[in-house]
Amino acid sequence: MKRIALFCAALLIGGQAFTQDTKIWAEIGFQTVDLTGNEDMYNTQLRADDGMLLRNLSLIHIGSEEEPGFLDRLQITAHGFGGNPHGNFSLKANGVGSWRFRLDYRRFEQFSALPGLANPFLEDGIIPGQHTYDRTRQMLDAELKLLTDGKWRPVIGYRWNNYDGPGRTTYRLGVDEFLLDSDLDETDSEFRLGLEFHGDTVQAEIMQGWRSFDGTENNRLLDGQGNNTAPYLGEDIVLDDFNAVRNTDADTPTTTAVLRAGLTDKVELLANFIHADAELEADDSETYSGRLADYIVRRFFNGGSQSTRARTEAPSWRGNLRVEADLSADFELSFGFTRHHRELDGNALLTTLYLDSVTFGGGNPGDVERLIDADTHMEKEGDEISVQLSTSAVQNFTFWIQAVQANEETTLDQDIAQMSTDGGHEGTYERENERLVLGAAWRKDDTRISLEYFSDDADRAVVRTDYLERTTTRLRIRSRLMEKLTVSGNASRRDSENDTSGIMLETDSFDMGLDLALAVSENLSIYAGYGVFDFESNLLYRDPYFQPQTSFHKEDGDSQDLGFFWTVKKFELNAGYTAYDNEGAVDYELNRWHARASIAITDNLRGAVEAAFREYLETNLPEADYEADRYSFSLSWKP
Amino acid sequence: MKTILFLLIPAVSWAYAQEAAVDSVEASAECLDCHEEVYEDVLKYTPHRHSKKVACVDCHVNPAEHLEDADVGNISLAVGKEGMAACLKCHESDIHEIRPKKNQHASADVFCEDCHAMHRDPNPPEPLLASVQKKLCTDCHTDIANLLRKPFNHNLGHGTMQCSSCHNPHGGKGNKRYLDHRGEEATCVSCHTEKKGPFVFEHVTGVTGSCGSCHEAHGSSNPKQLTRAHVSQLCLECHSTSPSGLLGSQPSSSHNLRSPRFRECTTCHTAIHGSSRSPLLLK
Repeated sequence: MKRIALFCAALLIGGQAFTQDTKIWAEIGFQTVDLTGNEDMYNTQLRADDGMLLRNLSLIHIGSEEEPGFLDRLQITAHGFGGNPHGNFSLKANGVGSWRFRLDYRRFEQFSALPGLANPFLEDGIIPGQHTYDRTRQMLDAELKLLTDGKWRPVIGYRWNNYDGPGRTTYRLGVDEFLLDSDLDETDSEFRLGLEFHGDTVQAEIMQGWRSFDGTENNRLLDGQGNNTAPYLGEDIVLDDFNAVRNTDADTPTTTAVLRAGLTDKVELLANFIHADAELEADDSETYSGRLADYIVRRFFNGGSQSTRARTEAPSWRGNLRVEADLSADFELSFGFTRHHRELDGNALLTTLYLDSVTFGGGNPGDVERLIDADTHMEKEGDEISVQLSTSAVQNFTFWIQAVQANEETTLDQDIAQMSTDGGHEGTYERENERLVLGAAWRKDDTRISLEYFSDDADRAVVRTDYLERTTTRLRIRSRLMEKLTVSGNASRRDSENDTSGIMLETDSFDMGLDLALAVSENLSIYAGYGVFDFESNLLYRDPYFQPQTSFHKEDGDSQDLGFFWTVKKFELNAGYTAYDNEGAVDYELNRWHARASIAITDNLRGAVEAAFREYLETNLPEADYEADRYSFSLSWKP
Repeated sequence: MKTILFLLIPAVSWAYAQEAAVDSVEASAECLDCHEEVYEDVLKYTPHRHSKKVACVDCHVNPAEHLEDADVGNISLAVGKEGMAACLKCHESDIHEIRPKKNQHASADVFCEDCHAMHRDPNPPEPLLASVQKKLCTDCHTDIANLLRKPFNHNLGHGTMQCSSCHNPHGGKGNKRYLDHRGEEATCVSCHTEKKGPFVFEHVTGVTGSCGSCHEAHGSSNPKQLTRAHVSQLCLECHSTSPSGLLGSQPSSSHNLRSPRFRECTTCHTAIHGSSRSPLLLK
């Protein structure tokens, strides 16, 4: 923020500090939140809090027309912060045909503490689960473009993304898993430099970026009892102390090239190429003590340590070529080809030391060291060819047809130590998908109707949830009647299946929404909406004991919206109600009400009060329920 | 060093400053005789007026007739393809973003004026949009509106995340619907950078599938925006060796699903997105 303030100051000084024309709109206030029920669930879903509110800050400054200076136009906007879990600040500035600058800063408070996730003790009434975090993500992106008189325009940019804060996690050590405190601090940044070319018929850009990722996580023991409360082979398993430091560094030079060329008046060529060369190094150390057991070395032990040295290289590139042609005034044809490629070479040296160990039978006492030197290799390449023809030859209608053929080949060459997909999974996996799209749209005056049909046909599955056939149909309608009533609706159905023996995947989804907005008078408008969402999925699988099972998932939801806007002289009122009710795998209701009243105090100043209520009710997990009542007042100033 | 750089940028840019052009005002002089209020209150502050030097007649047609007869009806805005052509005179030069002629929206007869309003107050919330972005998009994409109503979502419309944080409304078809984050494997990891690796031990879902294999980006009834209510159900749908020849290993029988300890696979397999430390994605 300090840098942002410095930059703004520099701009203002350079731009003769608002001696010209400036427009400001600001709305600030204060809110309180009254919570009953599961505060953690509310904070996971929304996390509004007591505090100041910056509902909006908007400033536009334009330079003098008579005496142009450094700054032609400056726009600053900001929202959130304070009681809002999110906030953003953006600045856009440009000189008179000479440069353009933008800066975007966003801040997110990310919280998660759920009763049912990673919680082996939920049935004992202990909440939340063992995986929680309370972290902040901050993102900044700035770019300056110099709009020179010539055809070449330099671009310089910088991006920064930081994610840090405390959390809780679990760590499996031997035959039990233990609760840990975690501190995470990760930063991904990129400096980029590029050049744009603006010719009469050719436009191009080449950009070179240097990305860097730097992450550190510290873990400490929070509870040494472990999740397995029963003794293991007659011994109580307890962890007395645990400390781990994990460092990750990655560098990724990235090159991007974009080309757009008018081959003739009717034919245009578009191409882009992206190359990224990622290299990651991980360096860990962890030490622990206690009474522990490990079934891999089949020993009890009193502590130990583990260190990791890992390195991964992953070069990748993607190229895309597209030709778009106007066959006539009413017919357009386009052809596209994309190829992408990614390789991954990884090596990890894991050294584990078991101190004071004895076999499960009580023999061979002593320290034992176990070494894993794992090499992994992966390669993926895919092509996509697409052709599209569209026409508007029939009055008020547009029709389009598109055919896409995509194939992908993945090769896994795994070290024996790569156990996450053990059982001889190395090899080459290929899949080809053919897609056909048919579409039609009709538009007249303020009415628009469109219908689209997608058909996907794949030759094989790579993972069990891959479909072999999938169809999607979608209808959209939007109409404005007599300038007062707006009707918009949507209905779509998607079915997919894989009838291979042992899988029998079948998913069906249907959703529909209808919204009405009516301007009853100049001062009053009302709106109403209704939506349904229906999803069912069936899939056969074998559980860990090789018993056949069916995985069934269902959602059956409907939503209602109702509200109005009413204005009388200096007074404005709007209020609304939204409900979402789902019956299925998770049976819940989410109900929301809100009302806002504002009054003009002077020509430039308005005062507003607002109330918003949110209620979450989960039938099978009442521990998750909450009710949050939020009240706020604010003043808006618009000179 | 970075502070110096930030201060240096405006200073360097100063060197490129050039004479202002006021030709758009001159070209619109006759319009401003009657419509000065629109100009002074709104248009003057938009990017159109100042940097792009857009005059009234660049968008409005029949100005001569209107000058003779002030009836509003005879000075219409070009709409549809004609309107798009007027916008593209300037905006077509952006090689990344503006591909309206052949994109999904134009194919379905959705044109510039359906989302943008030139005379809207350029102040909040978003300049030159006809409405708040979330409302604009969900007016047509009501299926997405249904998903956004679910309890676990990206909380759009609170000032930070917008539809355009991930999607490019001016982009082409297929993957061009998403913002091009300059070489990222997926749009999601441009924010969730800690998930992108590359890892020595990658979860193969990230190789053959996508984030959407397990997560519903727009909104979900399930925690973590997962596509299934129970983590073990989500995992076991792939991790079963029947039939053979597919990716996805069978968990060993030591995973006692009757015990709550084993019902959530990620309680132990915490590094589910990939790990450089544990072949079993345990850390």
